[in-house]
Amino acid sequence: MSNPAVTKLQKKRIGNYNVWLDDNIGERMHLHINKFRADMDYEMFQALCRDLEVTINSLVDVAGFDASKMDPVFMEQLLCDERCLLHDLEQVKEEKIRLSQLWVGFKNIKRIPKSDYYKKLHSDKGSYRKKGSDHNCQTPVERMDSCKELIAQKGYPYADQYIILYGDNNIIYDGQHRAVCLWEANGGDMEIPIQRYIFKGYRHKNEAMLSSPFAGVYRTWHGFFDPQNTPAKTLGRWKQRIGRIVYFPFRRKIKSFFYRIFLAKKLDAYKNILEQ
Amino acid sequence: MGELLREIHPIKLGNEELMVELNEGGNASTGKIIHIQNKDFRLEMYEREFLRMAATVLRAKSELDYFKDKEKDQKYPVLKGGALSEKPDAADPLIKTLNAKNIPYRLVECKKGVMTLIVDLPKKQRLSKLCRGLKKRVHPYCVELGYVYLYKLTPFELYEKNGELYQIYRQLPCCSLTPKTFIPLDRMIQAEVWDTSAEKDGIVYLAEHVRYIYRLCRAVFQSRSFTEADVEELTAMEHVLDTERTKELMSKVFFNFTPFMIKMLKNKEYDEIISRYLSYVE
Repeated sequence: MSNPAVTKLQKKRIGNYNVWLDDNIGERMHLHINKFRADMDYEMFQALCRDLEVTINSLVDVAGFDASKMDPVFMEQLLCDERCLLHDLEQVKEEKIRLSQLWVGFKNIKRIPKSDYYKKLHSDKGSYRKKGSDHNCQTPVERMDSCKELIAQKGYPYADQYIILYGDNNIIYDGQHRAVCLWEANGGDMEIPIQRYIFKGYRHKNEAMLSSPFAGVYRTWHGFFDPQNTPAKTLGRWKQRIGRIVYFPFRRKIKSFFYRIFLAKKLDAYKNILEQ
Repeated sequence: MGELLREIHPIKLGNEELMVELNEGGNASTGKIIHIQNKDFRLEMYEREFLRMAATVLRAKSELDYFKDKEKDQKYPVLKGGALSEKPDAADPLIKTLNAKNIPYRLVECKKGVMTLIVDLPKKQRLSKLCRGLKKRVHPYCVELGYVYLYKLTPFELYEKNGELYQIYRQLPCCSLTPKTFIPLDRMIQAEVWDTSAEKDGIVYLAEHVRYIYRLCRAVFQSRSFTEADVEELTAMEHVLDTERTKELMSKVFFNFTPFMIKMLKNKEYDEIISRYLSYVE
C-alpha cells in the first residue's frame, strides 16, 4: 500500500503549483509538483540542489550573494516567501557594526540584552521561537545550544555566513541567535562584520515605531500601505483570515471538545492499557 | 515558444538533463518567465515562482540532512518492562460469539485487560449488536481527537464487557511517522492475515510471521522503542525470519532496508534498529 516511514520535508503552494518533498525511508525520495512526481536517490538529490544553487546565483547575479552560503531556512522563510524579496535584491554590502546598535525581533523589536532570545538563553522554556524559523524537528533549546557550540568552536563568521540586515535598518533578519551568543561571550561593544541586503523598492520599517508600544498599530498601517503588498495579495490574506473564523467544522470540533473535557481521564486510562 | 533571453544552467532530474532558460514575460507586471525543459518536456513558471521553488527544495535538503544527522546520534535503548502476551480465555464471550456465528477473525494479541482482534465484518456492522452486553467506548485514537486514518483504513473500535477491553481492527494497521496518523499495512500482508492462521483451543490466532511483522512495526513506528517484553516475544518468534515469505512481506514495509533490518534482528541489536532505520538514506 504505502510506506509508513514517509517524512514530509517541505510542502508549499507556489503560484499554481503544489510543491512537496517526501523522504520515504527505504525507498527513493519524491519531489512532487502538482500531480507530477520525480523519484531520486540521495546523490541525485544532492546534485539537483547543487545545480539549483548555481541557477539561483546566476539568476540573482549580485556580487556578494551566494546561495550555497545562505542558511536555507532563512532563504526559504524570509527571502523567498510570498513576496520573494530575493528577486528584488540589488546589492549586498559588507560592513562592521557594534552589537549594541543591533535590534532583535520581528514584531516588537528590542536591543539584544532586553530581547526574549537573550533572556531565555539559559532557560529551558523556548517560547521565543518564531514559528518555522528552525528546522522541523528542532527545539528552540537545541537551536540555541548548537549555536553556542558553533560560536565557541568555529567563531564568527563561520563559512562566510554573516548576520543579515535589510537596507539601512539595524534589525537582524538572519542571525539573532548568533548575535545573542556573541553578546553573551564578548559584551555589547564588540564590532562584528555583517551583510546588508539592499532591495529594489523595499519599504523599510521604522525602528523607533517598531520598538514603541504602538508597534502593532504601526505594523498594520505599514503592511496596508506597503507597495509590495499588491491588492490581490492583501485580499487573499484577508480572505484567509476570515475563512479561519467562518469555517468551523461543528460536529467534530464540539465532539472533540467534550471528549477532552469529560473523558480525558478515561481516555488516558484506555491509552495506558492499549500501549502497555 | 517564448523569447529566449539566456540559458541559465542545466539541472539534472534523475537521469534527465533539463535546461533552465530565462524568457521574456508576457507583460511588465508578471515579470520574466522560466522554462525548465529538454526536447521532450517543459515546465513553465514565473521567475519569482522558480526562486521560491528552488528555495523550497534547498530547505528540504537541509531538513533531510538535519533529521538524518539527529537520528544517527539518537539512542533508543531497550526499555524495561512492557506487557507480555497472555493466554486468552477460550470461554471469552466475544470469541464464543464470533465462533458461533462463523465470523472470520484473528486474535492479534491478548494482554492484561485488553484483547486485540481483527474481524472481517462489513464496515458499518457493529460488534455490540452481535454480542450482548458489549458496550462501545470512545477509542483514544478516535478521529474526533485528531487522529487520521489514511488509505481507507477503518478507524479502530473499542468495546468493553465486564471490565475487559476489546480493540477491534478491520485491517492490520501501522502507525505512520507522520504524527497521529495510521495506515493499513500493504495489501499482501492484509491478504496473508486471512490466508494463514494458527488455531489453538478453538481460538484463531494471527499467523506467527504476520504477528512478528505487526509487533515489529508497532515498536518501530508507534512506540519508537523496544521493551523487554517486545524483545522476548520477537526473539521467541525469530525463526520466522528464515522464511522467504516473511522477507517478502517485510520488504513491503521496510523496502530496501529489509536486509539490514533482518540482520540486526538476528544479531539482537534492538537498541540500534530504530536509529539506523530512521537515518537510512537510499
